[in-house]
Amino acid sequence: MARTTYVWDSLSDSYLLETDGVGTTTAVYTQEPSMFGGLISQEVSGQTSYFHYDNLGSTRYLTDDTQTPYSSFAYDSWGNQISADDSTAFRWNGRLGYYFDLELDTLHVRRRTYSSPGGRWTSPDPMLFVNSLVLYGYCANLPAGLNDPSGLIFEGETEQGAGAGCLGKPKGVVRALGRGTFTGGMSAMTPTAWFDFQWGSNFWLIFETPQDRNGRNGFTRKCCCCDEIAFIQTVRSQFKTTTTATNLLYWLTDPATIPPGRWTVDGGLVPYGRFYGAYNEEYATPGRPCKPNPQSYAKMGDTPHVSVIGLPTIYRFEAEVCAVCMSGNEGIDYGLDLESTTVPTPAGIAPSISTTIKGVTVYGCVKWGHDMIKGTRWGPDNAEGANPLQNSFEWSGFSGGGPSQDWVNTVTGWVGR
Amino acid sequence: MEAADWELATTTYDVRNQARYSVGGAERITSTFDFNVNQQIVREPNGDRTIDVWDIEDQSILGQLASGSRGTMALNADLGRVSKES
Repeated sequence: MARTTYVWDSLSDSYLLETDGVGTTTAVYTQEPSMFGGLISQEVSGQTSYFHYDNLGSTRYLTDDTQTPYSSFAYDSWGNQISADDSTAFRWNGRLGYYFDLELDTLHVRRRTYSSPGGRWTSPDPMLFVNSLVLYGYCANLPAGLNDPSGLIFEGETEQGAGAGCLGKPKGVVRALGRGTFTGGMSAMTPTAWFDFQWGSNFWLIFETPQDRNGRNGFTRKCCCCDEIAFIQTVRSQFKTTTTATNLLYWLTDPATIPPGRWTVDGGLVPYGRFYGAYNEEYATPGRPCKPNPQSYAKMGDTPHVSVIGLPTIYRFEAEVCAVCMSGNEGIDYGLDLESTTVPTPAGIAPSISTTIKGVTVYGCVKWGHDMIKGTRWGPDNAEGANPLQNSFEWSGFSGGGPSQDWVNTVTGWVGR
Repeated sequence: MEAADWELATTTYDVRNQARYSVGGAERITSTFDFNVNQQIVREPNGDRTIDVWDIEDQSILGQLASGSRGTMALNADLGRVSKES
């Protein structure tokens, strides 16, 4: 039995390297700094190979250090290999980390396993009916234009950036890039109370639509498809403490307790991001609200405070903010679920109806957060362990500096894909 | 590719949209699913079986082809695959 261990970049959820059973590194991967990576090269046995992809992100060629192709690949639309060799496991949709398990003849795609012969996932959709009503279906049966690197939500790119037509109501999660860019920043906050271990950061983010020579922004070129931009944020934290801990975070909306290590939606869809200063009566008709104004932007800020009961030794907070369309042609597609279709409603009781998001258009995402590790100054006399209950952690941006740091993952430009 | 290379296959799905049978010509592929509706066994026309074993989080932790080739997987708390033995 040969053992392969995978080391992941938790920020981008991408492969960094592989080791064998005795811990020897067998492969090193270089990734783009974006969600799910973007595989650039691999180094195996001292040989560096560079990936070249087709439009979908499937590996077509590998080249060596001298730019000489030495391996080629071909697939059908569903990922069945027409020609391939064993020089890499990243083949069909390899750029986004689809990992071909040769001994299993399946593709490991993070949360799920995909079988090319059947063109289906081998397990049902963990997100249930967010993607479609077909729980095993792959990318709404559109494998040539969409992909699903998380195994949870399929996505695809359009030519909106080139001014192509409207998307129409989205099905699933559709990424329409090129409509604007992000800028943002972060500053650490002073702890409000050391005794309950609170800390936090100020974070701000602007999504701005570019202007062309005629002053038209990214939503008015050939169609104006979104009336209102919103931000949606998912969060998670990971920490270790010396005692049983409750992780309480104060968010955009309400205080919320999130389970450690799991991504959680932060208060739902937050319509923070109306086009401030961009609304124009001339365009105030459905589908054309975006004024050609240099100040066409959507802005949000967040000041999450974290309160951990216990003595944390390692703490990481991560958030991913996505700019999405709130309303308009590309606005959220809602659906009604009649729950009584599966569970008969008792006589005299009205059937229960709930609303589900069926589709959303995403214009881009940014990840942000901060890391913190246990400082060396614990007690009032600066002696480690002198009195751990009478001092808080030290970290960057706070008095005295410290070993922790805030980070924003390339907030200018498109992050993600 | 010539027309002769193509063969129509008809797949039958159950009420849970699980692909249970796929029939091409005189051959039939059968799939069975575990209690949590994960694909468990795929039986080829010649009797070969592909087997998957799933954990409580619906993550594949073991796969085995009819050839005997197999892999066992270990996951971290985020359900990310951290190792594979094959």
